[in-house]
Amino acid sequence: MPDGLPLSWAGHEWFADASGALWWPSQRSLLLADLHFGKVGHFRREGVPIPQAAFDKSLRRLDQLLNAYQPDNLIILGDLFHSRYNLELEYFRAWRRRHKGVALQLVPGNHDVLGPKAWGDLGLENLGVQHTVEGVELVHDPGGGEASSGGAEQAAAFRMSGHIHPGVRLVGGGRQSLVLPCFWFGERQALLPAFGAFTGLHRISPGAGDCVLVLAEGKILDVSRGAAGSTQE
Amino acid sequence: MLEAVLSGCSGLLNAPTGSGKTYAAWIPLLCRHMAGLPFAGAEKKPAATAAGLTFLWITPLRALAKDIRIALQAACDAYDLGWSVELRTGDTPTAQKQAQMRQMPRVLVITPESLHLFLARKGYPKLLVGLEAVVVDEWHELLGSKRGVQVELALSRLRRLCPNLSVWGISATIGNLVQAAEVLLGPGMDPARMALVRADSRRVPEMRTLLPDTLADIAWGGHLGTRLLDKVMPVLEEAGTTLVFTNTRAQSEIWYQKLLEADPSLAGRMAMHHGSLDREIREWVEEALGAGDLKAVVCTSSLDLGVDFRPVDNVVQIGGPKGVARFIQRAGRSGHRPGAQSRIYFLPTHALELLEASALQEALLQDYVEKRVPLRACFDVLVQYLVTLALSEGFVADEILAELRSTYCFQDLSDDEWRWCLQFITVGGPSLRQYDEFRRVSWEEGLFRVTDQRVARRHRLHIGTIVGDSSLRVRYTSGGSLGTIEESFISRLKTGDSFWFAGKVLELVQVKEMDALVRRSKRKTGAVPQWGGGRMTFTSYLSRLLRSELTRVVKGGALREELVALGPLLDIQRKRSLIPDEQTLLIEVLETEDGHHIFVFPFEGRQVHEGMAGLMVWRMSRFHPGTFSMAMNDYGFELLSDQPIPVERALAEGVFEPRNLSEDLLNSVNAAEMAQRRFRDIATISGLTFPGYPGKLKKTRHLQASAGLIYRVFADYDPQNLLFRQALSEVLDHQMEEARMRTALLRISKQTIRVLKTDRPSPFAFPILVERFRERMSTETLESRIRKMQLDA
Repeated sequence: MPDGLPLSWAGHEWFADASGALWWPSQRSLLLADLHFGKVGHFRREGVPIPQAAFDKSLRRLDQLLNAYQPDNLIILGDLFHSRYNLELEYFRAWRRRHKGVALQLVPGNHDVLGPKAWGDLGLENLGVQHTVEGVELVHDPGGGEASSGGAEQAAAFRMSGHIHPGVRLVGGGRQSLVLPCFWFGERQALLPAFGAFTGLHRISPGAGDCVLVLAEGKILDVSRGAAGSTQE
Repeated sequence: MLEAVLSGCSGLLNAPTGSGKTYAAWIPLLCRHMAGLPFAGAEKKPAATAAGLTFLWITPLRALAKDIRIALQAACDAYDLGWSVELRTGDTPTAQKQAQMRQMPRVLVITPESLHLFLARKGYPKLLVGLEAVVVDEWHELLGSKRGVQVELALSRLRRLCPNLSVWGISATIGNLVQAAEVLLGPGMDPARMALVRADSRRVPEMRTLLPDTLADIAWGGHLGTRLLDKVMPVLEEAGTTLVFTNTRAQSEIWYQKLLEADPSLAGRMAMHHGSLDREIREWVEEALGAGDLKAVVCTSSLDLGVDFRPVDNVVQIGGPKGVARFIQRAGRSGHRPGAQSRIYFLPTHALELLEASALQEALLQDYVEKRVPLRACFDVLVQYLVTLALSEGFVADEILAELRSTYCFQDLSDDEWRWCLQFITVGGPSLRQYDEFRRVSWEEGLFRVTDQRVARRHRLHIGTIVGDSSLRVRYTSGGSLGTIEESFISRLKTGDSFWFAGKVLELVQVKEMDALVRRSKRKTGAVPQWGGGRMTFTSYLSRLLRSELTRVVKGGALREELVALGPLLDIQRKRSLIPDEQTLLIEVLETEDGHHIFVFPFEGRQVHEGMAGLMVWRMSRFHPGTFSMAMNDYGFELLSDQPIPVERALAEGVFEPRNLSEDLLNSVNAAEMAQRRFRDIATISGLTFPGYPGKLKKTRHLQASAGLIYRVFADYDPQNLLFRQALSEVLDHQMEEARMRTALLRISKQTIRVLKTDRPSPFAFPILVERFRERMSTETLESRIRKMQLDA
């Protein structure tokens, strides 16, 4: 079993992987957000020598995930590609050829400007900016678009998104503090951490009752207020 | 000096400020030119007696450039040469720069950055054909900084292009003048053609400490010192013009405001001068100062240099100057008339600075000055320089390598390191894949060149960017700019909040791109910005003096008035703990609601303490892994933990032993993330990150990545990267001063260690306890740390 934490939330059973992917067993789907493939290449092309390995590692982590979970669907919640065409797309194509079996689905994000031609070549299915599975609304930007302001029946939907690159600050005795990427589950919505290696963080402030799972050196830990892991006096 | 110059030597002129050092260097050079003497080794007169560039005058500060231009021009006019002396700095209008490229003036006054920008121009070698001499002003300021390395690099190029070039440095007194000359002229310089000229007019300034009436009038901790404001007022009154030196820009803002409150009649007769203010404002202050229109100027090190032409009557130093050389230089601002005694008033900002005051008195008595240690192997500066050369004329690898090895900084550059640098700028580091689109410098027909126009444009913007937080320009909504302020400060303010800047209370109206739009606020109070930037540390000389002052106290010897004034506090220290002499290392153990503290007092300066704290935590991890918060000042350091700290065991296990120092330090560095902060400068200089260029941010936004992110990517995926390694070695050499720490540890190994439990913070511990700048370090696994932490509220 890969390193992760099982989670019952909003009437669904999920499994949060320490890599930042979310496994949805009933759908046999693996959810990922904000891969930002091509970002390393974009910087390099402009003369900023970010190591190529940063991109290669993300692909290897994808390999490992597919081996571990054997999903039917790989659903990307936006920002699969960071920018316009560059060579990293070719390397991703090569990766795709090695993993033909899995359905690759994309909820496009603000960075996904490549367009249908490139997506078609990858055998990538465009789910549209808002896609609902089992009452869970998948979007890229949690605050964006026409979504959830809709009718009464849609108000019941639970929304899952990326875009934010969520992170939380932890504090402890001796005035220590730490900022780590995290999964965040609130009453009506959830945020996935950014999966890409060369991406930043945006700090969020979770409320009481929210579930917060932080990613730390290949491990995943529950730091929700009142969770077993956090020894709050 | 005249003889040395006429004989065609290069060299270093050592002269204190206010001794007419500009002319001391300039007149002989002019004489030599007029005499038409060939420069050493030259067969005939330089070819370009046709009016091209003949002299370059490099100055570290833009603010100085103007004064120097006037002085140099005056001498040219006096000899009726009909020459023009022009400026070329970041402030020079583009039209004038372009005109210079068509017709060079005889003399160009330039900053190190602008000189590098000049080397980034196509066709620069032609313009340098007739260059006879380069003068590097205030070399002591540049030495030991990356801008100094920039000068070394530019000189290596100029020497190649003009083989008979004479190079002269002007330096205030520092402890290693011979080495300073070696760095300037290159280690391979023929000693027979090198001269060190000393102006023997050392004047020891008189120092007076502004003592509190009672010790209750002065705080135990803190850095402001405004409680002793009423002691400064008489100093202002007794003299015509007073310079009030503060250690930080924030401090000068506050002092300006407090002085104005204490004496409203100062309005209009007092000004402020610091590096974040706009050039126009600073120039106005400098001119008003020269004209004698000002009663007082509150300033930072921005006025340390070049007030040669502007006599003042009194100088006040607020807070410890941390070094003797800086203190003497500031004192030298007063009493400029030949033979006049210069005088400096010292105002302690917290009680223990009285100890520092006594040590400073001793230093003046001993007439000793610190060294400036030159930098080695700065790969960030090198990478930037290589792209600069590739941008203009392109370069041939072997030629430039030979030039580099002629400099002090890169004399030991290895073939491997050189290959790495070339690889870094051409293919972007070690290549894993056959195909890659990395684009910066290309290699064509034996020449390294920049062919991509975007890379070229960005690099030009890049040269000489001041390292620091990205900064915003402070502008009135009605137009008119005041200066720059760090983004991190503005981001904490809301629209409508007021803050102090340039001595005014301003209301934040809006942040728009790189501008903070403000208007004058009617309110009387506001936040005071904190500018980041280096915090000064005690020099090792001053540290030693401090320890001997304490020994004097313990032995009951004759004490200066400063130590007598400190008496009551020393009594409390004795009662709650003890006063350590040179043979004793004091460690205090304290428990508060924050957790378990230990305070260690090596009296070795903030930087060494920072490293020692990290070392102690790292070495304790073998038997006591944990997470610590660390704070330090120039007297000692503190470790704070949620668990009791096993001090006795730590001492028994040898946490302060000098053995395996480098290795343990590096390990502790990784944990303490110090290198990551060092890396910010390195990333900016080497072109990995793009600081905000006022008004030009938009174009580079798609390439914004924080230095922290890039650092982590290097640490994870390319740990052999030389820039990444440079961050580590900078921490060892400069931040932790490894060599100095080794000496300190050897000293500690001979000392008696006294561990005392205190029930309240002692007077020595208090200033550290209230330090707001803290380091964190953990030797626990991340998981066990997290298990003990909570979400931030």
